[in-house]
Amino acid sequence: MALKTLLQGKAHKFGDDITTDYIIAGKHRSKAENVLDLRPYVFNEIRPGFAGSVAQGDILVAGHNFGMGSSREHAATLIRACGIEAVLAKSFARIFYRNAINIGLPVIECDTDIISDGDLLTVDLRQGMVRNLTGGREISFTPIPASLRSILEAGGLVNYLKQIK
Amino acid sequence: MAPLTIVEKILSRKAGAAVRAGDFVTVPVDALMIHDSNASTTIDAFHSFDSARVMPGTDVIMVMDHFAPCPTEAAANMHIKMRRFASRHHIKLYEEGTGVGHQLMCEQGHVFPGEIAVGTDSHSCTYGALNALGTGIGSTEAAGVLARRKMWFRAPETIRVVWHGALPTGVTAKDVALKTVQEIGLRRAIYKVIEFGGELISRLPVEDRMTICNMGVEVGAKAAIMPPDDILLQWIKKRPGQHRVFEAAEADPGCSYSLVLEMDAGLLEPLAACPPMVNLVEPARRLKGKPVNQVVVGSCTNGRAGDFRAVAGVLAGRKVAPGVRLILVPASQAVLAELLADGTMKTLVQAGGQLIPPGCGPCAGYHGGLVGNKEVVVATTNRNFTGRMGSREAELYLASPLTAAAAALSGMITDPREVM
Repeated sequence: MALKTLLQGKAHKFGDDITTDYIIAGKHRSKAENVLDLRPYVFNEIRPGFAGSVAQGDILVAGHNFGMGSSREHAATLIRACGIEAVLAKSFARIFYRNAINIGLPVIECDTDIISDGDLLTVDLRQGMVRNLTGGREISFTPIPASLRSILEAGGLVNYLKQIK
Repeated sequence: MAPLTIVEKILSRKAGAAVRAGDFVTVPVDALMIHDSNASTTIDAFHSFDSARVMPGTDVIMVMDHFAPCPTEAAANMHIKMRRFASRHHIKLYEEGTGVGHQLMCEQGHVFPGEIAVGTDSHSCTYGALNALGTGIGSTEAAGVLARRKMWFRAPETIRVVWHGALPTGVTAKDVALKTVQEIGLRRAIYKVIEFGGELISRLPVEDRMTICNMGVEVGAKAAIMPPDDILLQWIKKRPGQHRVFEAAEADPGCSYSLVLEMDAGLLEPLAACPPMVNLVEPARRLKGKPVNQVVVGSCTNGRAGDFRAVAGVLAGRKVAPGVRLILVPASQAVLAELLADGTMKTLVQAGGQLIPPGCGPCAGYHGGLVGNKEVVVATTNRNFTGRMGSREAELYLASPLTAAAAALSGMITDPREVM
């Protein structure tokens, strides 16, 4: 699957220090063998009904330290499975960041203060630009480092490692 | 060669060239732990590689600790999948009830000083107590290690935390860990390593060092690490299981730290992290009187024999307060055997404690003691996020085994020095 580099979608805005327990609490893991069946529980602890509120292509927006805590990759997998195609945050917890890249979900560090919940955004991964179509503002960001972008462009770590074998 | 931090040295040896903070390297991994909560997705990711052969050279273990015993059919089926995979690829499998992965990695001899050991769990930073670079990874990354043995790292900057002095009465390694989290905060160490040192650390037994390194990830760190010394090397020598050649890693004098914090253990008092974040730390005495419904002693943070002995020291000949559930979850079968042999477990059960099988227990809300609305918990575990142990209306306080024992005894948060 080729990486989509031009994204457009509605912002779902969260605050600082969103833990992976908030994204998908551990207590739900044993409810289904296939993690994708856990979609209804995404953000259940802090924003119940999240999965139903996302349209394919929407963008998750957060403050500092998004994805802190557990190494559970299904935090990233499930955000994407809900329809989210990129996550913008002021900063990321390292394991979440790495997991997102490894499954091919773009994660972008940028100033998210000028984005409100529900704003319509476009994200240009190549140019490193977020446009808030609702608020009429632009935010530039440092494009994802080349080595990580090649993992993203391959569609994730598995495909990337297959290519370099 | 320019002076290196412990982690720069470990990565440099693996890479065969000097590696400094900020450099990207791809290096072989010595040990990998995969637990049941992330095994199914790891196996699926592994199967999506063309060559479905596990690359030899990494000491791989699979552990059933999050669903032990299984709370659901889905969990049981995930365990069946793990057993098949482990059997097919000749991977060492630790069955339900054997213990928490991190404890088994250290106790059963899968991690050695100077090595790189990763796990599909954020608390893999525990291995730093053994002078190993330990860090948590996701399922896809774990599948990559199985298939290729290697992993890329961005060499991290190091924050040095020096603990001076000695622990006052009633204060434990857990209080050191909580104070460290409070001091650094939730974000200051993102993508960095915490290197602990100082005379306090050098006097602690390895088990207590594990408690401190275990909570390194709570400040966002990639890893927490401690220098090697005689206490560690003797501990490694006495450990059961395999032995392999290793080279411990020390920091070079004059190496570069992004921050140095000097802390005085003598000023510590018994602490508790208040909900819903680990850095919201208060002295236990300031929370005095907060009624408690459940006390949990165990986990990869504080589930070792010394932790239970500390609790037994408070509860011996006494009873848990009416209305309080005291859940005991040893970190491993070996720990449980020790506690049975020396009478500690008898003391705790006679005091009213309920023993559950070695494993993760209710720490992350998987099974074995979830809590309901408005309930208050004191746990020796490592995270207190909203909803982590059950109801999102529950309140979780993190504390030492001594402070947990005092809460079990009095039915409220209590400074343990009042009841010792």
